[in-house]
Amino acid sequence: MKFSYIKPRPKNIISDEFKIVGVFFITAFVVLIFSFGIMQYKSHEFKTKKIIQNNKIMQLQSTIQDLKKAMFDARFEVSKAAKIGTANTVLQESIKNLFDLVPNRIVLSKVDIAKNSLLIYGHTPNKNLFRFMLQAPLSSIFTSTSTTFYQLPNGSLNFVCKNYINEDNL
Amino acid sequence: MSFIPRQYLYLFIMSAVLLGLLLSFSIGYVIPVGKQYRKQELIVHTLSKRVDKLYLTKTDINKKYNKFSKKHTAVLAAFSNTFNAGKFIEINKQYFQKITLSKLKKDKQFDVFDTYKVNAVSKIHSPENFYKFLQRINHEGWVIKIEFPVHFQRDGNLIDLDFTMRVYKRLLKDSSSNILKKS
Repeated sequence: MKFSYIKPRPKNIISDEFKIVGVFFITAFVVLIFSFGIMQYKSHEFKTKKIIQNNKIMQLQSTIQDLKKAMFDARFEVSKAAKIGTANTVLQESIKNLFDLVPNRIVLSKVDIAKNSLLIYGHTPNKNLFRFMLQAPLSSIFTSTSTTFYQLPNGSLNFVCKNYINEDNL
Repeated sequence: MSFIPRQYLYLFIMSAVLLGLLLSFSIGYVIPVGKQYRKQELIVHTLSKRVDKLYLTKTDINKKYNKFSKKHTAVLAAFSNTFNAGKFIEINKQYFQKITLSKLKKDKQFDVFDTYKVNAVSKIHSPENFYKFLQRINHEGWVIKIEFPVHFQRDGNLIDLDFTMRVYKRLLKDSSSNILKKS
């Protein structure tokens, strides 16, 4: 026996409108929580990366500093070696020039070469030969030149020639 | 109120509460974390750029340093070689009839290297031998400077020659070689 003319509808505790609103809010919350989690995780990752990058920067800066120092030292050493090489060459040239100046007839017995002085001991047949052939060129190089002669029984002379140069002229 | 059904009123109130929660959560947590995220990302990006720049600088200096070291290998090696009197005499015996070296004495200490003084007493046939020795000394594996005074004295057919050499040696604390390995 029928008591109603309409077909009965099932009555839910949660209505369709309620479901739509619920799904919307649940989705929104899930999306927000998921984004929040991802951003939290990434932020933490970035913090770790930041520490690593800072360490890398410090390490690189230290290496660069060391390399610059090594480069500076290497350049300094090369320039020092060049200066030393030049000084040796200059010394060689000076000694060579000095011995080239000495005429065959003058015999040297002792030569002391210092930074700003030159002492020559030797033997010459006569004073003029010494004065023109050795003393004259030496006077043009040194600031002061003085020679002492010692007469020998055979007429020839021993001499001591002292030459000095001022520090300013070096 | 009678025209709004009760269930819709409940739905409206619930929606308003949830929306409030949603906004509070967004404003209170999500947006600050987002801002923090952007900030950190920017910092890391800047740092990465800086690391790349420094790495390029390091590579550039390293390349220059290696090129320079390669070009001057002999000179740089000479500064690290320890002076060996026996080897020195062996190499230079052709120039001297006889050569005796006095003990190596520490002379001065500079920032970069130590210097040692060595006195040499020798006999030579002619000054030419000494010139040749002076030419050769710059290429013998040590950094040696011949110092004043130099004494020549005739002794029969030979010449007695006394001179002082200053040997330069890189200080051990210098870490150039370590840097080469490190980079």
